[in-house]
Amino acid sequence: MATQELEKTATVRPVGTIWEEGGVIYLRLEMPGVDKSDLDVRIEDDQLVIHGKRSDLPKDAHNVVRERRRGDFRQVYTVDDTVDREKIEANLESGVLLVTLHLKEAVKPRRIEIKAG
Amino acid sequence: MRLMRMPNGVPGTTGSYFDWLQDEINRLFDPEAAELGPGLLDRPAAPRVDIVEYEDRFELLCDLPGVDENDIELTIAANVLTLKGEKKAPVSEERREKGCKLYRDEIWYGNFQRTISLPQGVDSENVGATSKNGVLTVSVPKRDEAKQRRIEIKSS
Repeated sequence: MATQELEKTATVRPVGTIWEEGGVIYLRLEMPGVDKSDLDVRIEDDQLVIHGKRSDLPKDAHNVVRERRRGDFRQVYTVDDTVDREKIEANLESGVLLVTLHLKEAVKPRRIEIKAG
Repeated sequence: MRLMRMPNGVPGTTGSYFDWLQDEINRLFDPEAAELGPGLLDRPAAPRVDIVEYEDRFELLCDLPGVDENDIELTIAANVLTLKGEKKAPVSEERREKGCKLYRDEIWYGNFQRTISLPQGVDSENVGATSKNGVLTVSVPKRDEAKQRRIEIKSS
């Protein structure tokens, strides 16, 4: 998304859960109302940029109750060298985005064999 | 009632007290802060909803990302719509114990309930609900007598 366009767009930060399980980091973000075609997940230099456009928000003219937040979902994470950038996967299902970040083999804990001399 | 330190203002004026009062009142009506406390019928974990009025129906939109449709219970009785359900934790207690490292957890989970009074003149027999991209849409049609009608003006 171009910077100029972004400046004019209201964004909210999606709530998320981050956990590590078996050498894989999972990033789960709640993005209700975002369609797969309106979701953009990309790596820009050291940053993982996630942007999801909401298309389900009604026009405000007839709103009787208005509690849901307005704006697109956007979150930027810094990805360090321990993450394998070639193996990032993203899956969107019923308003939940799950990003899978694999750790590089080199950073995984490993056991060093001790040789008897 | 707790004691509060009054703000320092310009001596001899009450200007800053009005600012302080303004802030306090703004905070009272701040929807962000209000979510922390339970309402009369709403539990703290009440999902956010929008209600939109159309010519022929009301539409209720509710954000329920990651909640299975089978875990949502929608009932209607005498113009009161109740939305009930359970949101499951993304990382179960069991997995947490099995060496899964949780770095950040911002979401709420557990049971939720929301009760919404519908206006008079709705057709509670024909309520429909759909779910898409984690948003539940409940459509409540208006009864014919509640719909807006244009009255023809006859010239005599």
